Amino acid sequence: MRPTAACAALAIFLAGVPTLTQAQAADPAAAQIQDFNNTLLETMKQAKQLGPKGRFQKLDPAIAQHFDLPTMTRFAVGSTWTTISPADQATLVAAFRRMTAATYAHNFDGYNNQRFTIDPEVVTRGSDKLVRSHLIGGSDKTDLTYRMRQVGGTWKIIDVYYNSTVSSLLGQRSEYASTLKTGGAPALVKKLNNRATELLG
Amino acid sequence: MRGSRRPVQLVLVSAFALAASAGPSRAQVEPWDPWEPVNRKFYAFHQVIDRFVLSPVAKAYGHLPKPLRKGLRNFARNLGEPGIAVNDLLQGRPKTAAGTVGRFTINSTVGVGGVLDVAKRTGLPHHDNDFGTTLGRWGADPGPYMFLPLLGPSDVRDTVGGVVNIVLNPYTWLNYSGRTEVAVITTLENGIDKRYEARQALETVRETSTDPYATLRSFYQQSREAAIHGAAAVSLPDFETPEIESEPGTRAAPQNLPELPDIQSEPEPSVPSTQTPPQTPSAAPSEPSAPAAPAAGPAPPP
Repeated sequence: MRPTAACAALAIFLAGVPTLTQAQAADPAAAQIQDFNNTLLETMKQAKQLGPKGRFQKLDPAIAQHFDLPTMTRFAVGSTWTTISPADQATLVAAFRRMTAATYAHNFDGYNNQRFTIDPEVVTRGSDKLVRSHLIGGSDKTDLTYRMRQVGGTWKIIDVYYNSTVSSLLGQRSEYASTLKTGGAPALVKKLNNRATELLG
Repeated sequence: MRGSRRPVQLVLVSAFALAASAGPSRAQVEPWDPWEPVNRKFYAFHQVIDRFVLSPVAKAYGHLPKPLRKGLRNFARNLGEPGIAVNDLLQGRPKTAAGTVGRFTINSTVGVGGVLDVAKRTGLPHHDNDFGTTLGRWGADPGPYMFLPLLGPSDVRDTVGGVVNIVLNPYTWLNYSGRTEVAVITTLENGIDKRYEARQALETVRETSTDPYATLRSFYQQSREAAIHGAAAVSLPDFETPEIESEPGTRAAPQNLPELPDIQSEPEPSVPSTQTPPQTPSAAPSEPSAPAAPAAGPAPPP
């Protein structure tokens, strides 16, 4: 993994993902974060042997399991989502998923004794929960807050806040807007897939 | 201009005029970037400067011994403390201002002209503050986004704030030998240090974003809003969540936790989304211990 916690946190901000381990989380939402973090940490420890494509193969199912990717994609696309055909929407969700996993695989490319912790207190806000965690590497400590929502009885991540303030989904919404405006959904799908391919190079 | 209060008043009036003309508060969901075509050109130009000048200089700076880098940073920061104290006061935080003055006094004397951060060890750590933040806390909207070559991401409020910052810093009005050299060294040190600190974040953005310009814009705007209004500034009013709307109490964000974006539980592709007005942050800003970096500098806050 890249040397600093700040770098890793930014990777999370860009990819829209979470992490955690340590003591068993009592809250079901926190338990999901802990489970994903375990996978991420395991991948980091085997990063060099796996290579980018191997890390992608390992992380992609975990991302699909722990993230509400359709909701995230719809939100990142914004109001034009309702004008996009269901077929294109499905393609967008697939591209979003691939790009998310590729970004993680690219950024978490090593292990340097980092660890994740989760605050025992989980804040309930309306129908959602906020799980606050910390990414710790050496003397660096970065706050990561996960917004989670129950989907089909399972708590899933719908957004990640870097330092409790910067929403990854807002960043992606800003990132996609110009491409969607000029080339529509097909252009965004193409860009996401091309960039994912580059990252897995 | 030195010694006269008139220019200060003129700048302040201009600042308010610009802030007032910035228009209504905009939610961060759709970044307010009416000058995007020009901003993107500036961004592209900045990338060239960054590649051939800023990045190599920051890289060389990184090779300096760490104690030397730290000393330079402390020295430059210390000269900015009087300006920070003025902004603390303007934001109605006399205790914080007193701490800043104490910090400046300790570091300027015991800290050998600011090179050593002795005050930090006595419980007076550095915190950022600037007139852009002051304007924001007074209620001024950020105005349109701006990307400034050499300086990086900003907005109208922070650009005005950056100029007023110079005016508000007592060092601007002091006459002492070597003041020009000190001003140049301090400005260069601040810029190079910021670029150096942001190097990994910028590299990650370039590598992983399909539109680095827009990603930096979002990162900057969100960080600034959070620094000015608290974490509760983060809001996404584009999609309604009826359960949250029906429970007013749930809007109040706990300290240091983000306001929840509104995201519909179930997508309704055939029904247009309902636009709701931008939300006012529900939590009052607290005493800032370490707000995000101000607009000045070649890179966004890491």
